[in-house]
Amino acid sequence: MQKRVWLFRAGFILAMLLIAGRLFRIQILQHDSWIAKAEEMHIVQSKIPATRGEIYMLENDEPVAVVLNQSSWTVVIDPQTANPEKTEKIVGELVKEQMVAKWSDIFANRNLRYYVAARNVTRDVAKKIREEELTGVYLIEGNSRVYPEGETGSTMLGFVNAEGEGQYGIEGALNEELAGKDGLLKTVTDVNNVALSIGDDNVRVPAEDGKNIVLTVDRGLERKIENGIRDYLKEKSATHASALVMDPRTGRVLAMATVPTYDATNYARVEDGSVYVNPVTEVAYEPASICKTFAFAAAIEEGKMTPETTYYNPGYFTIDSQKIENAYKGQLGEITMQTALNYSLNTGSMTALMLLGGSTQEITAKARETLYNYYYERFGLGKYTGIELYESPGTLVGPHDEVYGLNAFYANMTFGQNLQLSMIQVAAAFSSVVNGGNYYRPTIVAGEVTKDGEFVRSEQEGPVRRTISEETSATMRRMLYGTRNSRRLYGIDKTGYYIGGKTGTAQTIIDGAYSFDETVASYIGYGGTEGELPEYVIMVKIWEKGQKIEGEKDAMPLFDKLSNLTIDYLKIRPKGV
Amino acid sequence: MRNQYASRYASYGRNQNIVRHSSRTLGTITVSLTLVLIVVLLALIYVTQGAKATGYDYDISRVDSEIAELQAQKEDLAVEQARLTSVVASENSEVAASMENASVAGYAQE
Repeated sequence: MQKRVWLFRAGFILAMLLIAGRLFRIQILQHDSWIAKAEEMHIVQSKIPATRGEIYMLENDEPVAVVLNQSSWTVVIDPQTANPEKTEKIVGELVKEQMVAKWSDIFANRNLRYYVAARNVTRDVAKKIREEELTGVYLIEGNSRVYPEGETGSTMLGFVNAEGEGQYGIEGALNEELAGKDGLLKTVTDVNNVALSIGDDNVRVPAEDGKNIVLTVDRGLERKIENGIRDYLKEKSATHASALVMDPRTGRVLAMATVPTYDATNYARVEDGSVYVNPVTEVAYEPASICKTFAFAAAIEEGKMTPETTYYNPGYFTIDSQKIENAYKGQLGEITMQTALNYSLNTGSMTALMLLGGSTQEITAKARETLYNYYYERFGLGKYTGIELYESPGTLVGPHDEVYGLNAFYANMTFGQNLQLSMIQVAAAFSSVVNGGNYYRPTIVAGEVTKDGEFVRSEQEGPVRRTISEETSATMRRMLYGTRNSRRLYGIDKTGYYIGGKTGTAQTIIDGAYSFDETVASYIGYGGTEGELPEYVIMVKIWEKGQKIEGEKDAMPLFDKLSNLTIDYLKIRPKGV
Repeated sequence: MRNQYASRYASYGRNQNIVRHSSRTLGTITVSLTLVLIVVLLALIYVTQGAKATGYDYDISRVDSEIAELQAQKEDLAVEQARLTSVVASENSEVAASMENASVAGYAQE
């Protein structure tokens, strides 16, 4: 009896020791490992997504939303378990517009378990699908961008891709500000996945929502300009055009439109990806004779010429063994610089360059240096303007660069060839030429809308630098007015307004040489009440592959149309009213 | 023996405040039961409070869901409002379709 009791006790103690040993192993030696496993089971760590900021335009100086967020659902099909006929009949009918795949493709391989059938499905439709309780049909909630203005301003606004990253336009360039910062939630949950407040490791870092950005762009004007371009192009062989409307007194962009546009909601359906690129800021090109404005302004500012200064126009100059001709073959002989600008004579702008170097016969190093100083340092051509969008800096050859035929290069630069500039660079520089000589950084951001719905305006920046004097600016306004009105073959301006401008027809380089078979047409002009500083600057550009498009014949009439439209929209009063 | 009692009574006689106590201690079982009872009571309090906290957590979760739902509805309404007041919607409206283009803008002379 005693022996059995002893054996029982010994067995009991041994069992206790084994359990204690096992507990020691689990609780002490493998402590961290088991804690990690336990936490994995009942602690949920998830991202608190930041709400992407909305984008607003202005209307009557008040912000109106043009890009918003909305919950949306993605319909996913499990081809292995879903009933093809029933699913297609019910789901297909409900998400006809949002389908991203064909039903025949979805059920082509029944071994697949996951096939995205539709995206951007609305709440109501998602609810109807859920109520059907279809086998093999799943709904994944997400967030999508909504564009109540349709395709208006799409090239300027950009889009948000499936990963939630802004691409192109404002969405891309200001992605960091719009995206905000995701938060973190780490919490103990129960079997129902409900977050519990017990536990020492709960962490909740709130998300920082993205900024609601307000653009300087006027919604109504943007739409009118875009429609104006679209209507105009119906009469032309070209299908591509851009227009920029700026306030030359502040550098604020009032409209930035490009046709063709695209549907940002279905950006992936775009066949030609080039429509994503904003031609106003991202594409540098040769703006051609528009640049004569800058060469003439430089020469006048330097006191080397006036509009009445005369020179002998032989129809061409030979520089660095290159014969550089006028596009217009008339007005030969002794003519004024005003006439040269009116007829856009290359010999006139080349003469202005020569005058900058103190000569009338040759292009000196001083002439190149002075022109470069004006172009690059003062007018900001060939470098970033600082606008809140993706930009191309363009190219500008330096006055001492080792380039074959440097003088010929500079001669070409006076009439806008052999350099690459963006429309925004040209428009900002032109604004300074006509606004009294002040260069303003072009801007497209007017401020932000706070979470409380308050519109907080960005501080209005002053002029960055002076490019030319007020006197030179006034002279240039007169010259540009004279040029426009001496060549009003197609344009019709309203009375009481003072509108001036300059054409540009750029040859394109085909097989390494400039060709007139494909040209890009531009026009830049200013407008406002007669006797007052200009209230708007408009630059237009039209292009089409393989087409000969001219500044005077094609771009100027578009400017006329948009200029009149802007006067009406902005309610600019004529002189004396 | 007599002297012994005599001295005891004598001491009572000297100090009338002295009282006699009989020792009454709790038994082992009673102590154990009391301890168990206290532990059970404390455990019950802990469980009750824990359940109460979990109940609040469910409330919080439900309110969070309601907030999210209302937020989503607000977003939907904002989108609907933006669509209805958009320039595109105005252009395509029946009112706009029945309007004529104005070619000349008149200004009153001062």
